Amino acid sequence: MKERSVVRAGLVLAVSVALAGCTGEIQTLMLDAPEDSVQRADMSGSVPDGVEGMDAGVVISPDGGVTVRPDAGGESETPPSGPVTMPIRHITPLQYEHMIADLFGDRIAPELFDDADKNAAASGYSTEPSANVVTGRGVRQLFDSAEVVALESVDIMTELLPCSANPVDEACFDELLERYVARAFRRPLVAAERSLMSEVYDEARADGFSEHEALAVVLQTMLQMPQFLYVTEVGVPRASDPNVLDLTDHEIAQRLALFFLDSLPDDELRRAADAGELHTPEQIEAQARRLLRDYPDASILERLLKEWLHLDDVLSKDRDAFPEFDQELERSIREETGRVFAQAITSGDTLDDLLNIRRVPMNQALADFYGVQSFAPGRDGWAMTDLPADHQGLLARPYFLGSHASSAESSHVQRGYTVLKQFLCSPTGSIPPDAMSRVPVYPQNSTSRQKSDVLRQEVACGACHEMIDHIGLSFEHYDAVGSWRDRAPASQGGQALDVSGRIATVGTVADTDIAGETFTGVDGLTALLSGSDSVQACIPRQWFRYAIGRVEADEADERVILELTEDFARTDGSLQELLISITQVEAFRTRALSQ
Amino acid sequence: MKKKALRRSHRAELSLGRRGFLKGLGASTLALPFLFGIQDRSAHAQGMVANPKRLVIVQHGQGTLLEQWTPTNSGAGYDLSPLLLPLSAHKDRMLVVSGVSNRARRSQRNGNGHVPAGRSILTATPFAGSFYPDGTLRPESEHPSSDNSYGPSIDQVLAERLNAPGQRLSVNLSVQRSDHENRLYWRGAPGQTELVSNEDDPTRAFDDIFGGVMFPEDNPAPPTRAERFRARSGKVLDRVRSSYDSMRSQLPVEDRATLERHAAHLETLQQNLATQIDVEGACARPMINTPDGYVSREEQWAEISMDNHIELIAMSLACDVSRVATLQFGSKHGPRFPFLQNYTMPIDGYTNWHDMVHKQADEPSAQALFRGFEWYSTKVSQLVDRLASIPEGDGTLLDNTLVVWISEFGNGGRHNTDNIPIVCFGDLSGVVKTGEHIAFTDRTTNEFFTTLLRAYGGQDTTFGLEVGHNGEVYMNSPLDEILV
Repeated sequence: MKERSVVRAGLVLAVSVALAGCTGEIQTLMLDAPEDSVQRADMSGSVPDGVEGMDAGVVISPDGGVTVRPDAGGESETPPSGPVTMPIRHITPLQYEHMIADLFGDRIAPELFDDADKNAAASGYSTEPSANVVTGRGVRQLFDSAEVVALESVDIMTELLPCSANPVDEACFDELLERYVARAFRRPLVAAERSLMSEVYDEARADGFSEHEALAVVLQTMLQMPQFLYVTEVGVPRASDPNVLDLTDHEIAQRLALFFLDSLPDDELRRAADAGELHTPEQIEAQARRLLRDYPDASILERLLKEWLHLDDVLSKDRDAFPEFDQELERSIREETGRVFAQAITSGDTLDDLLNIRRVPMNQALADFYGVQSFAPGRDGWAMTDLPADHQGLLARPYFLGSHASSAESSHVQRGYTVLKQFLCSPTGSIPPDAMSRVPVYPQNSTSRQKSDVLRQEVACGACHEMIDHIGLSFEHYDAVGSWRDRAPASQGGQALDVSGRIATVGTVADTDIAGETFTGVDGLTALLSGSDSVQACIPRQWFRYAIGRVEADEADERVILELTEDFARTDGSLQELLISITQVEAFRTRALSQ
Repeated sequence: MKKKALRRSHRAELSLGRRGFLKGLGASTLALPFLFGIQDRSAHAQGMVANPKRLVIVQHGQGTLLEQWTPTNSGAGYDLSPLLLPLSAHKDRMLVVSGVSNRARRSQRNGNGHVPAGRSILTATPFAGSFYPDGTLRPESEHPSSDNSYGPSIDQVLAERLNAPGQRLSVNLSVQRSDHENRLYWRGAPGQTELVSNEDDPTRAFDDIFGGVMFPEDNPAPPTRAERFRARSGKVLDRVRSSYDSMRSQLPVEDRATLERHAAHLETLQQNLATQIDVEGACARPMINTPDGYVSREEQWAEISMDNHIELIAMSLACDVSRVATLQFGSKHGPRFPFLQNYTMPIDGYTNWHDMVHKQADEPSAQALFRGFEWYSTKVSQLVDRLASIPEGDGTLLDNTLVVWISEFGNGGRHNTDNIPIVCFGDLSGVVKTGEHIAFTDRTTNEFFTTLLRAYGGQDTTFGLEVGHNGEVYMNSPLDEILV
């Protein structure tokens, strides 16, 4: 591993690169990639007019580029970061699903809420507030879902609320409010909410609804109210600066629950918040570590993994081209990577450990897929098993490879683009509007590399594909399902593959510490990424975006990333400690108003 | 398993169609003009012209094969092109318009070829984010900050003008779900438009539009629990909306607009649920026919969806639910036309329609492409037939309707928005020419839509973005040649 003492210098570059690039987030890399793969709406944040950092040496130029003055602060530590903006946001479809499940267990399933008409997340992270602005379709879905939940709750009301087996008295109604409404609202109810709910109940009773039906109407109402559907943070304005809100204990519990579980605070978080024991960094850290312990395979791990690496929910592949790629294998491929990531986090692995993973949980389907001869399944059918040499490392996981491919063909463009953007924080520009009319005619049976050679000659295409393709072509040994192949597919002539790669010296990637480096194959790429400070600085940036659900937009955001990056370096890139660090920055327990 | 069955039964109950029976149960506590059970639209309907003017916009994706779509001659004696042949029965009541281009698409950078074309095809404006807050166009080098449409779409502009108070603004249906690239309908003031959602599932659409309506053949049995809950939904929504109002004032100022938008959607939903329908004249229950296993999102059922949507649109117009309806073929990549005879992908190596469109010069997929595009013609013909089968006044519903059939591209393979294929049906009571092919040269959708507004009695002289980048003028004068 490289010396970490040079991290500071590397940061200067990485920071300036990443923010300059973020205003040019690519919308869709493949002109016609399947809509769920790379589509990212261009919603670049507003760029501040030149702002000069007062004390940390962070300079934001009028074009949005951020640099950290190398001399600022000398050898001393960068001062801690402060609050960042966190506007009100609607819960995501996944959070909605989880919350309903937390409230009602498996007794009631909600109707679909996906609000398919909402905008895509520019950051790639689904919690982005602007990507959760509800449309008319979403409001209708929420209405339908609340109605169905209410209807289904009527006949099982005594299960949901045992006291309702007897005539519903005030105490029983209060129990409904505590067990369902206050939990759904993620904080104790205020008087107005209690009286609203009892009016709802009384009104339904007056309309001839039975007690159980009227209780169901309370649930129906609750599930459409902003207290449930929106993450609101009112906090307590700071005396010294009313534009900074210190979050309440319950709002911090809500942040922790959303960050780690994508759901409601669990009992322990609620207890701690009720007791006023959830606002100091130490208290927050203790809860964060507890959550990682209590929920070792919690959804955070899976969603973070999927959104960071742009993994598909389901890999759908051409049946004719890949007859062996059945449901069992598809599920196993996803589960393997999910387990790898969860283990890396819970066991304190570093980023380098993850990038160079050599032993993974395997089942028989995967052993067959990899051609592992001596597989010995454990009791649940899974066992930690050594990977064959041609499948080692995070980038050679079939889930990653298959997500960045079409149904029948590998995609060097998607693979190269994902590495550039998600590991090097080096986005490309966007696709020219007339790109389709510029697509060259490729000779018959061209290989991916030959096509790339032609495409890069196109003036409008070359600049980005120069960055993307030299990385992506090193993946050519892996087909659309991530299987190793020795030669190019027959449709491309079947010759031996050239998997030499290079990090370009043009575009945003030119500013990384590995610009101009050459390598061979995914092994070579992994080795290069493992030693790169630019990569070491990019991961905290990505995970910070996950945490705040947006692309960093101002100096305050950059300061947080800087702090996280330094923490990350200090722990030699421990993935678990990065998650903890995110809960420890001041931004996690505050909110800045944008005035 | 049990849950699924239960769920379906709730929906089935709601779809029985007995809104009239339940009238009054949902009386709102707020003094809103259009609430469930309160307002009877027949009162103002009586004061209106007997045969209101309607608009139907049909859109399919991926443009066309211009060579086989564009008639080779123009005027009244024109010959139908190969792709328009399935419409021959309607030749005397249709108008083919060629040579009209969508220029606004050129003023928006970014996007993947489809997004800007889809956003602008009915709005004739670029992205909302292509403008600075003061309304001036950003330079071409700048990326748009939002890919919503800047302006409202023509259907929504006309919906505002044609509908009576209390009517649903528009009925918007799609065959399969419309994806991100295919968002065509936008409502609201320039710079503040909101997407108008499509419904792809005909049963849901029925529930949404006709759910709870009492048709003469309905059995007046006591309402089910699902119906009683639905009938009270106005009251629930009152409470829900009041909670948005009270919460808004407690939040930091920057958070308030978000809740305002949500509350506005709730208000629209409440109005739609409360729309009264008078079952009289040609208004009857639209028959929804979906076979077992039907899933509206799956392409194998596209033709079934289409047939149901045609029925829903016909009855929405006949029952005067709304005066504007849109029908979109929502899947851009998707269509594989598995319901066509001897049409199984891969064809000539292509596993999807979109790839085929891109390579449209290649044989033999060009033949397959032709058949796909031809299918759209046959379905549009079916829609026109249906509208023409509904008696209205001395003629038919079609006489008071203009059907505009359009695509977001001309040459789809090139993702090119020049020479958009446009066919109109119906003459809007003698206002719009029919039986002709009018071949324009280098005119714009801005000009065409301006003329549509004029066809409905507007005095408009412009629509959409008038001047784009580099001073390119999109709006010269209306295309009044298409009017009688």
